[in-house]
Amino acid sequence: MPLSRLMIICQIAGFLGAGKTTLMIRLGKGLGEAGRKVAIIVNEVGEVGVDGEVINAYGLRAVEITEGCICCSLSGSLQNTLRLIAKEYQPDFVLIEPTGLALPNKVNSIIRTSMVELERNVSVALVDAYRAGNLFRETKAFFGRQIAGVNAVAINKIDLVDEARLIEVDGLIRELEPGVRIVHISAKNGDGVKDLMSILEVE
Amino acid sequence: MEEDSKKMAEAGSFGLRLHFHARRPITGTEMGKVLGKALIKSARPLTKSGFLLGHLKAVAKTNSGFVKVSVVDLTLGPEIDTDMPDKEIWDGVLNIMAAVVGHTDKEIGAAVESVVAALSKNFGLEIERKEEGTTRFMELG
Repeated sequence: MPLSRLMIICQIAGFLGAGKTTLMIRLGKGLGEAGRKVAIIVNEVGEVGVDGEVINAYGLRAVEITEGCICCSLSGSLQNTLRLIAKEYQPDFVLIEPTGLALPNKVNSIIRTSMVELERNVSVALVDAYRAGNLFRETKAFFGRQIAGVNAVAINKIDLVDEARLIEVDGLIRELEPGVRIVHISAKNGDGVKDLMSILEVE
Repeated sequence: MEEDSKKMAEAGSFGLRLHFHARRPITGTEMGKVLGKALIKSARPLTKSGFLLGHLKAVAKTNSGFVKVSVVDLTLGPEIDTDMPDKEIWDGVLNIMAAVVGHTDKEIGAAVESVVAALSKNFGLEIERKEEGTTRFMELG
């Protein structure tokens, strides 16, 4: 695939503790090894960031936005950061890790109005296979909004569950978002991550 | 009216940045275990049957590397990631952050403060806290 002059933005959304940072590091390293120039934006809902420090420690370039959510109170910060990255760094990929409370559709709207030129914008919702049943039971409406309208759902932590549980989780996702593309991954050990990367490259 | 996703999820959050000094050198692996125990203990009041509708996490950053610990489910235990498992740690910066659905900022703040207290009391870490750009020493142990 020829190198693109316009950047691809990929949002990795998902509930608190779904494994977003682990996946960001794996994707960032994988894309880097494939010759892609990658920038990462990490958003934390709290006043103090944790994940940006870790991502940088892996030799990746992360910008951290804290003290609020980029899908609501900090939407302007996201747009400014995107414009700055596009101008100063000119990456092939911008990976965005919103807070675990963000809604991907809202982040997509903010990206669309950020005045940066894109090749495309891809959003992936990450779902923790181990906790999906509990999350579905306790926060079904919110859980549904976190996967609404995404290009793909990546069911993560497949190393922690058996086949039967995985089929159950697939069913929960299908109930909320019929027809959505589902991939099974373990961000921790890398299983399935190549399938996800191919979605980012060609979606 | 603009939607606030944190309010919509009925979630609370709290974060702290601290300086720490170990009274004896500890390795990255030990630091991970120490942080994991403190986070698990402090997460307990925020759980439902061992299940946390959110997470507690911390990263200790030193000149030699980092130790990150995250807790999302007490039955799974802490997830520990470090690039300095065998290196000795004397001091560094510790960021602690938690966000949980169904709890207020105040309740989560109390859980984070209990992590700090546990690190100081049970694990012999001296804590120095940064607040509003100034640093003051806190003798918690």
